[in-house]
Amino acid sequence: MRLAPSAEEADFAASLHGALHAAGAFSGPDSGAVYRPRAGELSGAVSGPDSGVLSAWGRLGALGVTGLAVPERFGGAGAPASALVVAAEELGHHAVPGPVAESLAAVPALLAGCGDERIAATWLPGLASGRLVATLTAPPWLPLAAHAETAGVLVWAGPDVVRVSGGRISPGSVVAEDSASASVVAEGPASAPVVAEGPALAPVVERALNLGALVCAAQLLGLGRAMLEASVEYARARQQFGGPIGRFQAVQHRLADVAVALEFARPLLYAGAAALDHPRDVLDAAELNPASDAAGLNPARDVSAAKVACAEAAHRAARAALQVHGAVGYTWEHGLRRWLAMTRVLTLSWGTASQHRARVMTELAKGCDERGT
Amino acid sequence: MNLELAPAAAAFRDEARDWLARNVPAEPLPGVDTPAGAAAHREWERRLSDAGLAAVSWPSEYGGRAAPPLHAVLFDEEYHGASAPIRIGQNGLFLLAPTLLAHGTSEQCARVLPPMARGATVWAQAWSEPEAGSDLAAIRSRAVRVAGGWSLSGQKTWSSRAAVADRAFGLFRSSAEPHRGLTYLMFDLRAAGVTVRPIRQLDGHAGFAEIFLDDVFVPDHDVIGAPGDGWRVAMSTAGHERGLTLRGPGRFTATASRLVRLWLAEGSDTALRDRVADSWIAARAYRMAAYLSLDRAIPPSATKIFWSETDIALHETALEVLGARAEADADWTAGYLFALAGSIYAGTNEIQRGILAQRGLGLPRDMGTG
Repeated sequence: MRLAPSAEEADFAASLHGALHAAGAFSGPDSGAVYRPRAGELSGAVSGPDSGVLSAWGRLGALGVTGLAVPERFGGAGAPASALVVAAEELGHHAVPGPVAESLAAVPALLAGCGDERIAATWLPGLASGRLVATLTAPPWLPLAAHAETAGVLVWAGPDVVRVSGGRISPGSVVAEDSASASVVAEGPASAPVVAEGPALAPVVERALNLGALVCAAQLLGLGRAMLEASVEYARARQQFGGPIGRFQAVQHRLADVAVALEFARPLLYAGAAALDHPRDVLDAAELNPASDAAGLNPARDVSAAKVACAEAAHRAARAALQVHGAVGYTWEHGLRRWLAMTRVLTLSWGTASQHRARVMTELAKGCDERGT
Repeated sequence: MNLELAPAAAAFRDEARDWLARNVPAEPLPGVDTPAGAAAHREWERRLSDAGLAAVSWPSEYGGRAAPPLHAVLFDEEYHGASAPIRIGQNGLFLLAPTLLAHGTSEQCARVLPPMARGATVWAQAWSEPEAGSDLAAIRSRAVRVAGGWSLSGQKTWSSRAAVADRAFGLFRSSAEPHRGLTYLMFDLRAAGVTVRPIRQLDGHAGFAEIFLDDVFVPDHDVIGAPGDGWRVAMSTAGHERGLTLRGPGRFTATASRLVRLWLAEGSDTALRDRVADSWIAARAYRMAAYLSLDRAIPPSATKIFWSETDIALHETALEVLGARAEADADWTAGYLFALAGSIYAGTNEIQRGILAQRGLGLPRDMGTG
């Protein structure tokens, strides 16, 4: 029993934070000196094929992040979900752009689990090293492939089918520019070659999508943490009415509520990882005690709970951050917009709150049915 | 990130579950704040104590079994899952005992804790005063030095369980300095000079009371910590009152389970589905936070805000599911009225937000709080 990250995972998160901070480009809004995007980063994001993602991926590859979910025989670390969420929280903390949950979690899980060694060997080493970026379409959570302009491999996943298409955006797909997050979304390659299908694939797809949603939740928690840190720093520094605005209760209580939301989203994130890594663990023998919780760990239910809570906490942090920063936070020049935009995009991606709440209730109903209550 | 219980923890969980299944009264005990109910709840505490379940994390010599903190969380979950009676001893068990174990002498622990664990001594808390609620440091009730001890005079209020308790603990002013002039004392509610007047609450029960003190003698050995050091002693363990020690996750886990079953049985209204889901998710978050807190500290003020708001949300959602029939549902209505007190007692949620903002986040101190 240990829900907290291991010492090794905590060290990994700290070193990742340090490296991303030192790299500057993705430093959190807590580091005022490197708050703003570097010159050129933004224009590249809007006009070119690389919105800073490919260079980011190279850096993440060197840090051992892109290979976390890739099996060791394909050049990765074969790490558990717990390591992924710890890393993804730091990527969110620094608002690292790109299809993080797709390329670092879900696609590696799909390609490694699809049963086609040739497909796995074709794509996984590149994903592990960070040379290659993947994106994913998986309706209804992911009706569009995010950051398709940077992806070297596009995957389409249905409940029991996986299609893979190499190269850039496939012909016939609809391309739209999502200006706020400076990414390109595209309809996925629904007509791309099928690499695996059948009922045996269903648990692989389900696990991969759960892993992706959980990594997305971890990014949101990190984004929320960064925005709270930035808001506290700004509220301590900004002087009005003869003192810092952070002395006012209206500001203090709003930021305290953000802290509470983040504090209690985190345990659900970790429980989601525990559910994916140890799905057979059972905390409650429900049959002995029908009054207690319906069941032990349930990946679908627990990942959905984490996504709802982390998205809500990040949303609360985003709204508070913009309000506390006032007009300066509303400018393009100020870096806060990157955290705001990424929060908005990720909150609606990988399943909306409504979709995940529905799944929680579906799973809870199953638990009650199984108990005959 | 692994929630698997080690064999010893699982064995303890099973032992507690089995004992509770065999011993929890089939019919609810009479109300805890009535004389008959208090007697029945004391007897229940004695049975828990005989089974070694009254205070599992305490040292063995004081009536516990020196179990790790995880076991206390597991016991709390089993206790609420079994719908066991309210703990009449909770002020002593969850608030005074941690203070004594941290700041008391071994003589005090040996004298106070065993009868507390057996339900032989029931404790009330005596913090608030008519002019010292949220501004607790404004306490006026006095402790005056006399031969061999102290003389207490003044008025305490909102003293939970005082109507049926034997003794009380709280802060008294021993000198004029706002914080450093306070002394932490235990006193006898049956002593000469003490008058207890029950106060009827919003829910109809006399759960708290006023305590009037007129030259009440307290011996030196009932001072906890040094005279004048009471504020520091009280605040060092205030987290127990606000946090997971006072409100383990069991109450909310059990309530969330009931809410889900209620919605599944009644729930044709899909509009309420999201609220039920959010309420369940919050209770689950609190439960997982209890496990996480074993290895990673969570600020007590954040904990207090979260459990109190979760409790209200769970009950308000249930009432909405029941609709107009809720008024005829005594359990959910009583639970709701109890939950409504949670954002007020143990330091209002506004006070907690101030503490969290200033001490947790490092925002500047406002003149009005802290």
